[in-house]
Amino acid sequence: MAQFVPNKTAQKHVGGYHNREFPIPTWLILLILLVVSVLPLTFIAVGSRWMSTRLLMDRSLELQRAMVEGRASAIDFFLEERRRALETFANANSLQSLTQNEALPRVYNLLNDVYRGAFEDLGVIDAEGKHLAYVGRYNLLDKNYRHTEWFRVVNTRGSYISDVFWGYRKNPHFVIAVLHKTDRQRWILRATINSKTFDALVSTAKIGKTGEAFIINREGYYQTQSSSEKMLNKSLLREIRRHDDVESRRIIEQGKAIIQTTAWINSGRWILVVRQHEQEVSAPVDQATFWGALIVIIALVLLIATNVSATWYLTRRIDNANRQKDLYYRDLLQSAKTASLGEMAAGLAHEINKPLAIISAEQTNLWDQLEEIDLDENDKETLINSIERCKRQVERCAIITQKMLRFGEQAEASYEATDIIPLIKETVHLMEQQAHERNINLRLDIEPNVPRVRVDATEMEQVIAHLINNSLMSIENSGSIVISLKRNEYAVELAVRDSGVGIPKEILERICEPFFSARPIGKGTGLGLSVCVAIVRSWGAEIDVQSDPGQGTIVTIRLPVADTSASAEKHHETKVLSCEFSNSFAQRDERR
Amino acid sequence: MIDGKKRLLLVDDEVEFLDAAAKTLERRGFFVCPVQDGETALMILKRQSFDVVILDVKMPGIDGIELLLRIKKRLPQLPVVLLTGQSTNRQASEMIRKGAFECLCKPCAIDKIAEVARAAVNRH
Repeated sequence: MAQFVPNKTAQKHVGGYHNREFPIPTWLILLILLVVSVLPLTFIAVGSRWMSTRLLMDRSLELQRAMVEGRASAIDFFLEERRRALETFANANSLQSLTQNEALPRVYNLLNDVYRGAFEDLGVIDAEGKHLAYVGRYNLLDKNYRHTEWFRVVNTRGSYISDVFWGYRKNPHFVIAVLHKTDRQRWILRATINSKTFDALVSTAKIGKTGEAFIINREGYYQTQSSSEKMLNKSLLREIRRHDDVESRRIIEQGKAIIQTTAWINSGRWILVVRQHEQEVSAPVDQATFWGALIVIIALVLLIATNVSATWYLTRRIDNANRQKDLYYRDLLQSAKTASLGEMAAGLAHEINKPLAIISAEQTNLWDQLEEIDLDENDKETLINSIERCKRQVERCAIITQKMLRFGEQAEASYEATDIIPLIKETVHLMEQQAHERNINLRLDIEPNVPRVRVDATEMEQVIAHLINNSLMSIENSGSIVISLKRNEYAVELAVRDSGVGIPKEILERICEPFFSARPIGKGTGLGLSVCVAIVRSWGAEIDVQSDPGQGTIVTIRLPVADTSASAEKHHETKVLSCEFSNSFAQRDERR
Repeated sequence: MIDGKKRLLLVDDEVEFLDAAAKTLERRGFFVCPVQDGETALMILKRQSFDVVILDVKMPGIDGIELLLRIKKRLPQLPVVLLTGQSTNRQASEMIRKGAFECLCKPCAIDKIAEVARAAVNRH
């Protein structure tokens, strides 16, 4: 199908035009948009993750430090409280009273009542290191502590809280000892702290499932039970530097990150160590990160979808704009081409018409003189035949030059709301005789109440006549031509359908070009249909030609309805090409 | 009118056409005065009277339209037929509005010219 509908024709051309005028490919636009939008989002996401991780970790560590600080104070308080209790009892009782039979057990029971079984045993030791009295489950009465470390220190300092040691009982334990000194006497009240009670106290510093809490001394020996190490084992912890308050650090142990918080206790002799796997510490951070990442992914998906659809929509709009531009450009070129051709054709026709007029006049002259000359009948007939042939050829040339002239001439057309039904009927009536002679059935199929259309009446007649004439020429023996007129939603559709030979596909695209004719040379000027197309387009109408070789051709013209055509006014100013077939203008005017 | 012949002033810049057309029109019963340009035609019209004037539209100097207007100004009753090698329906109508009796398109048969000239003479 040869389409002269602007959008259709523009399709092929647009590809090249698009590439020429809009060289950025869609994928590049999309990439730029994605980079521009996704990059900031990614930066925000990564930055937020970094910030929130840092804040949450800081907060977690701060809580851990606060908790460890509290536990350290509690442990220090525990030790100090017991030391003071022993001191009080030592001051309140004399050596004599304590070494009497029931006195020490009474004190022992009293202390354990007050401090909930914190003391494992209790003993009174004289200045020589000898046990004077003992309450506890070990048989230590005969033991002498003169050479032990704790005995030496307590005599020097007055009180002492030992590290954990094996001692005579062969069991890890630590002692609290206080020296009671008067002018006459020096003796020591010594208690062993129940390690279970102490361990229970220390273990309250444990945090979470992976947490552990223990105490080591300055040399690194465990002072309490740890989850992995026994008491008095040497700790593998790196030497912990002396520090004030509480300190947290991240260490890697067996490939696992551990957060370790330490506090020095017991007057700087012990270190409370609280450890927790970093994974557990950062669990809330990880959870927050998970939800954050989910939101970012959803945002990215939405962003990509928005970008893709926006790019698709915009490029489609640009393509459409380019198509439109291309169409105008093409129409402009076509108009310029047609105008140049028309000018040339008109000039040429005028120049040919002059000698034709002379030939025509001379030929009439010859004819007149032949009548007067006495000649042999045969010779006369031969001459008459020659003159007649000349006359026919002049007429033929005249028809061609007339068409050229009409093609080239620009005239102001009068666009008015026109009822085209009478025009169609009149034109069909004029051509009926010709159709009848050729055994062609020429009929009308007109819907009632077809609205008026904004066209020039003369041009309309010309177009209908030409289309019917084309159809007549395309039917070889007999056939039919149907001229139909109907209304669709937006336009009035005029169609001329014939049962002729049809138009081969290869020439269908060219039939509207000026001077292109599918007929044998001399049978057609190739101007008729191009003039029709120019006229129809000047009305703001569309024309398309559909043809099946062997089946026939349908030419359809879609005319804008007069009442709804917004572009009607501009037509008054439009210059168009017109074509005329008649020799006598006056006769034609009279007919109008 | 001379010897029953209608007096016809034929104006065309093409000598060959003028010659051939004049001869034929003479035979069709006209007294033809062939003139090659507008100035001469106006001059002759001042001295002689004619029954009909046939003008070529496109001529050097005073063209056919100008000549038509001048003739119609001076001799409104004198019928003028225009010959043109380049015209359209509307231009022809325009010429008729300006006073031409008819507008014929070249090349047309001399017999047609004679027929129109006769009709012009008869109508006036």
